[in-house]
Amino acid sequence: MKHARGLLSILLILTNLTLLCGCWNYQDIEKVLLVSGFAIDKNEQGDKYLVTVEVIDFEMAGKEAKQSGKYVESEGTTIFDAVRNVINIVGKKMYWAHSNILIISQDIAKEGISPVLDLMFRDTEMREEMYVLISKEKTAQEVLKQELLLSQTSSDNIQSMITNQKGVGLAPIVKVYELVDILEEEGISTVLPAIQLTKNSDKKTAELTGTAVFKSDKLVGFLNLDETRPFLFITNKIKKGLISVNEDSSNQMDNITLEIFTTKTKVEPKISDKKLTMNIEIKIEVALGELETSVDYIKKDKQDKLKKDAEAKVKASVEAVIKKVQNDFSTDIFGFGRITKANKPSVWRSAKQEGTNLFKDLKTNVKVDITIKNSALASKPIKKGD
Amino acid sequence: MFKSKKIKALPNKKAEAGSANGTTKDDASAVSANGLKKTLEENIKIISELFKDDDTLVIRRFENEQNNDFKFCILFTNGMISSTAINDNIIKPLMLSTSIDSKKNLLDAIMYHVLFSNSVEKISEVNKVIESIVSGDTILFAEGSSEALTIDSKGWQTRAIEEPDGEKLIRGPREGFTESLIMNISMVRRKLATNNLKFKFRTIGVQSQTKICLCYIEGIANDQILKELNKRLDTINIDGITASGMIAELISDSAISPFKSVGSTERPDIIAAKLLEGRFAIIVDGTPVALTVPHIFIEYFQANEDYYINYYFSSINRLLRVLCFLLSLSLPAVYVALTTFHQEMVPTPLIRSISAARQGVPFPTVVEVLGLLITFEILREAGTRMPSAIGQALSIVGALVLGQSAVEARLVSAPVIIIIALTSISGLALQKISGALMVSRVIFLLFSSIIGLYGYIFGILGLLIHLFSLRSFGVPYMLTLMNFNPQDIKDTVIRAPLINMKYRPKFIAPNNRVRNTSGGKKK
Repeated sequence: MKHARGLLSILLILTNLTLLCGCWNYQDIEKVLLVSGFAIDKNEQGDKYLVTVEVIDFEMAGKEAKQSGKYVESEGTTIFDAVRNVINIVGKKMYWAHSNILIISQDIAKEGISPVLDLMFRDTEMREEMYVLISKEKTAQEVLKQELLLSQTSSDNIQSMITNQKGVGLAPIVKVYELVDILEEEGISTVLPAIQLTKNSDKKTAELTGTAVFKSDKLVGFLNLDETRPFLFITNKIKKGLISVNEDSSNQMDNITLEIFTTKTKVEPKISDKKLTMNIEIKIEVALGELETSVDYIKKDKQDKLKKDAEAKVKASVEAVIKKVQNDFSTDIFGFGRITKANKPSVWRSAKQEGTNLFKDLKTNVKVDITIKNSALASKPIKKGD
Repeated sequence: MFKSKKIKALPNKKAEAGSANGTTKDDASAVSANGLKKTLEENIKIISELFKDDDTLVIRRFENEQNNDFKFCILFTNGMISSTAINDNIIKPLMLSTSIDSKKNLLDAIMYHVLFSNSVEKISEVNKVIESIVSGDTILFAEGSSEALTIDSKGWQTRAIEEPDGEKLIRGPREGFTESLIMNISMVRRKLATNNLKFKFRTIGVQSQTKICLCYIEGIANDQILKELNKRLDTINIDGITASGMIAELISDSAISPFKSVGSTERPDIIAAKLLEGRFAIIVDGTPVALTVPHIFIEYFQANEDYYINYYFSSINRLLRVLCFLLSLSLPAVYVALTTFHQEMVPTPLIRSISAARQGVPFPTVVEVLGLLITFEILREAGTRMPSAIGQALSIVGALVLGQSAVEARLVSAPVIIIIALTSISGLALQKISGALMVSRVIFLLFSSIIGLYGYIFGILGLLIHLFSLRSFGVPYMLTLMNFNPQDIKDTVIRAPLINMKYRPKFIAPNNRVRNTSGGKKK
């Protein structure tokens, strides 16, 4: 009797464990296709989604299996539908947890990206840490199917471009969950990195080219590379990067490059004369990275001039970007609205009640402070002897 | 139901053992009731009847040279005695003696004036006579005396003291136990020269009459454990003990647990250290492996060399052993869980290379892992049992054929070979726990092949529950994890400097805890 009870309880525990357990699908990894990235387009008729998936394929080369990326296209009325239809084409189930790249075409982005994002946000397999990009080309799949310079898969190439932006500071990095957060939030609009094909060594390769600007979830325009950095300065997202300054010396233009070490931006709303002003204070720590001249900019007086010029240049570019976004797109990608809501809630509330667009005519007051820390390993420029 | 059957079966067995043994024992008691006879020939007849068909019994009759009335006879077992001792110390003085004159108190006179032996005893029971003969002593009968003398003449070949193969070290004493009980005891005695060190003999095994010796240090050892140990030793009723491992199993706390509650070692220095901690040692005649009780979990990870070398080094070694334990326990299970259930948890480059390696492998991952685990166990078992001359052939077949060719033929994938190799090498680093490791590793693997990491975690929980419920002679098996006392931690996963290890473990030696008050330079 006692043993029967023990046996029964063990049986109960085992059946419960197997039946109530969330993940219980034993699958050997070689039986699934590992997806590394995918692109979403509309088909030519414009009624169905066209999903282009890059999967990792293993070719048996002698003893070893060689990896390479292969592309599979599939159509469906929804993205989930299209994804499932892939099984009919390649015969294997796709495994999405290791997919890192999602490229969305301009057409879809102009209509709104939230329908596309839902699957990435909802599905258990797909990661919310996936990077989202907007194709500047006609379709998204041609970017994914780029001709590669190095032997790697296209998605890996694009992913490393994005993750290494820390050292360049030329494109915003946005993951699916961040995108969804910002889409749902008031007082800030979405941006995504833009990607396009450029010719390099006779090959059409993908390249990050600035920022795609959204109003709500619809694409309204692009910022180019030069406008992207000031945007990143304002949103405090830049970690590393370069500032190039042209100094007017006696008989020529001296090209000087400053390497950014740290930046810190403080945005504060102020009310003066009943008008809202944004105080933007950018503090940048730099080092002299490159002096293409024999003029010694390390000397105190020259250094001060260099600093002033660099500050003026950054300030001008920042102001220009704000102006451009205000006039051309009138969408608050800098998150000024969010800051106002947090710091001056009454102003935000009254503006919302009156239905006025705070951002459109917002005054900004930009202050840039650059500190030159050092001149790297050399203490003077290269002098030309005879 | 099962339990009651067991209890019923036990007395039956006892009776059976008694009856099987009956012929000698019953006869002997019948004779001993009468005791020995007065005449020499009658006594010889009694003994030779008892040893009928045993040709190793030697009966040697002789007389005193001066006075032929003094007739003697010695009896001994061939091969168990030292001939020189018998010739020079028994026969020669008895033949040549002039000091014996009357038949009155003859044996006393012989004992006091004639025999050159350090151990002589007067006996009158036939039982004792048999005992002496089979244990290598010589029995002396004298005409007209109803008693006999048992004279120590033991002498047989023993193995020399060598370094034990199973427990090697680099720095420290190299001697190891041999099969001789007395020699082993002397090795322990030499390390602990105190009269508090107690050696209690007892005999176990109805047929084998194996001598065992219980050692402990009075004043340090816990009396309750001693009582419990004696109680368990008393319950042993078996026909024969051929090695100490059998005693270990018979007195262990949990018969079904793969974890041992009785420790074992071949080294006298380890025994001495355990005795100093308040533990008990059981040395068994005929086995070079001595037992120690109580044995707790952390002792699997302690080595004697830890105390002889720098404590940083030994602490790192301890941590490595714990790591080995965890690796050996979990690697196959975690590998199967990650690659077949939770592929999202593996970094992308790694999952791709594992996937690349799995291309073309015909078996599911779990079958692959299980198969290789079994293959390794076969190799290990074959390597242990086979003659060492074939060793090279085995390693070639094992390493080349199974390892390389299996991967080349794509029967198994390379990552699995690496996993199994790491698992087994880690397991080999912990020789004494390898049995328990082998069992739990396979159980974990099966669990995780059914429900992934959930199964693995359930396995771990089960193992922990089991370990925490174990006790060794009343001492909690996971002693140092149960009561978190900084003093007790000092000799567990790390080895603190000796100067800081001031106390003995609380549960093992509760009455005499201070062991070390050295001050070093500070004092």
